Amino acid sequence: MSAFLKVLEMNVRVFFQYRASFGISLVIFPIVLIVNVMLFESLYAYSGNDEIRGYSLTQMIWYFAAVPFVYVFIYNFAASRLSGRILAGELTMDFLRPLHIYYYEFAHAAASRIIGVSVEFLPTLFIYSLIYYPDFLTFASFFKFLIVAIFAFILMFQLNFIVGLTAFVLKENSAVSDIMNITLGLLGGAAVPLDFMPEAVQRVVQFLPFQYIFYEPLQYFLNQPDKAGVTPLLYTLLVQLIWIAALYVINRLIWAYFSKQFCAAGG
Amino acid sequence: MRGLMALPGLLRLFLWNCKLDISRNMAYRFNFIAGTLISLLNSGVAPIVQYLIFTTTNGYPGWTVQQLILFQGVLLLWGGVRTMVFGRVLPEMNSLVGSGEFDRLLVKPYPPMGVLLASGFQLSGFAPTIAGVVIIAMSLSSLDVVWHWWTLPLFLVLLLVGCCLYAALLILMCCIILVAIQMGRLGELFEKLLSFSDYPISIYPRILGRLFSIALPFAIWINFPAQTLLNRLDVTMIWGAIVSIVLLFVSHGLWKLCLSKYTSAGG
Repeated sequence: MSAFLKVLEMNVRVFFQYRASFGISLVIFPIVLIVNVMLFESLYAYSGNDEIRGYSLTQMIWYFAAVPFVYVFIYNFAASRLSGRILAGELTMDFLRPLHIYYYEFAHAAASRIIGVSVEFLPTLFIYSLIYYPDFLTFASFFKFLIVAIFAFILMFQLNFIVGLTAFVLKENSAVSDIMNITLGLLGGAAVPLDFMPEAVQRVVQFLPFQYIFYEPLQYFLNQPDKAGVTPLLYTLLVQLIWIAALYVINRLIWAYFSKQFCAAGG
Repeated sequence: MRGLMALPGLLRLFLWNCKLDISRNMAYRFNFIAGTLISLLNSGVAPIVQYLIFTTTNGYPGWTVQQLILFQGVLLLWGGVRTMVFGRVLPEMNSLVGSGEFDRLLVKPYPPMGVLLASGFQLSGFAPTIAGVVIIAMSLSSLDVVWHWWTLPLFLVLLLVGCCLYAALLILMCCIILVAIQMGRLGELFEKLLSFSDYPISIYPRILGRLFSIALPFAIWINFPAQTLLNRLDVTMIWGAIVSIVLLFVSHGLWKLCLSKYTSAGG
């Protein structure tokens, strides 16, 4: 545990050196929000409805505005870093480390998100609120969002690490990474709310982990009526935990199998 | 070698990089085949999102479903072209500056930005380009549009000017990377900003429509070419084209300024 914390601390220090780069979001995200406001005000006015698929105008604007927030929580480079190491033959060095590469990468990802959340998420949320006030947001819904988003990060890390492990077989795995990104966009609710999808797709999505990374955190953030109270939150967290546990087991099994067969330069 | 004198050499370099990228892709065959399919899927995300929004609202003012499909075709074609020509520029710049290898570009016989732009080819843009052409051809055959001798040349000129505008914005992004050094999510933010060009201008409020047509003419990529194919010409197209070329010169000037202040690790 102390080794994990040390790696976490080290990475926080490294990322903190590049805090200015995180700050660029503070300039770009508000522009995105303003354009979204104009876009959806125009669309709602043209459609003549106060609500579209259960979203008020404010909620719709904030849905698209808050997608980058979820990215700030979940974004990590585990897949590409692992693939890069395998391609370059550097994984051999990781076998010698006292800390397993899974935990090392988790610490790296957690460190980048700690900086991301503190430098990007919180200030951007504040600026957004000044531009377009989120009248739906309560302290409880915000708190629920934070918890679900943290679990979404862990879930996303599991998926990314599995994608990274495909490099044992494929070497270059950017296509697999792309598949996951598209899936997250369409079936996770990052590109468009799942409520816009045909019913058959919505039914299938319920049996997949992707909606628990984007769609579910956003529903809590938007304080949707079906997310009121503690029961829905406990249910969401339970499903997230089940997915995390299942994917963790898959991760370890894949690692156990392929790490024994791994052969870099030098044998 | 500077200015127009460098152009033939840079074109040769671009072709050389094309061959390299194709060979690189062929080395990992599964990734290549999967990547081609994925890039097709990936470029289909925006059209799917738009179709879902179009069908769940009252549609877009001034656009029928058939015309929107043509618009999607142009969207796919532009997405493919820009990936094929510029796809690798930002990741390459990020990697070079981040690893301290950017300095080697400074000692090459061609201008650093020229070398960077010449290294932009990405094979994954091929599939969406073909898909875009097929969709445009199919939708044009079902639409009752009068064609003139200048329709196709004007369409191609607009695509070329669109490349100039895209290059201008890429150069600006490269300036940011050169100053800030570590810009992990710049590509994502860049794409987010540009995604406003994915919608017909008519759905934006008038002021924003003007902005995207003239001041920051994102409309030059998809809107103007689609309108040209639909025989709906507008005088703002000329302004948009002029501003695009001016922006290319402005961003190039800014690049030279940033480059003159670049100190590298040695100070």
